[in-house]
Amino acid sequence: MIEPFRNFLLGLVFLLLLLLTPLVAVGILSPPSLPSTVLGAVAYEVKIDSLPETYEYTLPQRLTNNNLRPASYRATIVRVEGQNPDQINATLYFEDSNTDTVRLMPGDSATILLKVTSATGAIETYRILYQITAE
Amino acid sequence: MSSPTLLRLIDEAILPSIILLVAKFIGLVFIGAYLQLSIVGIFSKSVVLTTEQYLTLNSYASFIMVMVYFLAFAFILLRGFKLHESHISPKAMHLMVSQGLLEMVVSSLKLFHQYIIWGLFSLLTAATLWVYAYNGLIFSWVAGTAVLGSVIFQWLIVLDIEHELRLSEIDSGHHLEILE
Repeated sequence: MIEPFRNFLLGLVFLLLLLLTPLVAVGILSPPSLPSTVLGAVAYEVKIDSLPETYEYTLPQRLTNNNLRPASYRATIVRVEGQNPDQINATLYFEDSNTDTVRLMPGDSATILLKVTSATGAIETYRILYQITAE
Repeated sequence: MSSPTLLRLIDEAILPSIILLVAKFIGLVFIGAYLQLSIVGIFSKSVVLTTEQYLTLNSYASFIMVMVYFLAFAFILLRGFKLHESHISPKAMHLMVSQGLLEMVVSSLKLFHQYIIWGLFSLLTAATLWVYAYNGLIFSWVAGTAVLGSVIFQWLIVLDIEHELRLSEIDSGHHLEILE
């Protein structure tokens, strides 16, 4: 009783493996890998009393042109420099996605929004360092 | 001893698997040679290609794979329509016997197992190509061709099965008439 069932299961597994062939055949050639690339850290100076909330950032043509598949870009805060950095809350997000990551097609450009809030309320100047990473 | 149906399905799945893999591989070699591309490795990330080259190579090689598969599938369907033992014409039967090609006449049991496997493979291939096209890894017209071809082949399978069902209904009706 057990052996026929075991054979049936083995047969089923083998059949399922064979059914994976189309996936293997289509994916026989791996796409060229685009390593996770840090496009560079950017320092941006903000003055608490006159905050610029948006910052236009156009992705380098080198990446957008060579990368025909959609690529993910991430914008992250690296460091905040100033008098009371702990009091500063800085966030970055892409205009289209409202998150810190965006997927772009070749030729697309992206606008990164920088939002800074301060708990002190004093007129202070800070340097926001952030980086853009492409995967 | 495993299930006879399962064994038959496995048996029928081997040929389309080989056809897909070999056709894709030959497609890669030929298109790669035609485009004078140096492919260092497959199944790895070490392929030395630009994205444009990859897209062209993968698309045309996949197109060759799909066309070879559809050609073989068309042959299976042609056998189903013309050389199916349940409704082969006397003229075709005579031709097969006279040419010593009686093995070309296919039984319903074998044919329907082939339909299941070949139909399933074509759907899976089309779906995979669609996902690749969606992710920009293949030209969308290749996926479109695969999907369209796959749908047409499924339709032809349904036509043949419906034809077979009508024949069996006629046969059973005939039996009833005799019994009455």
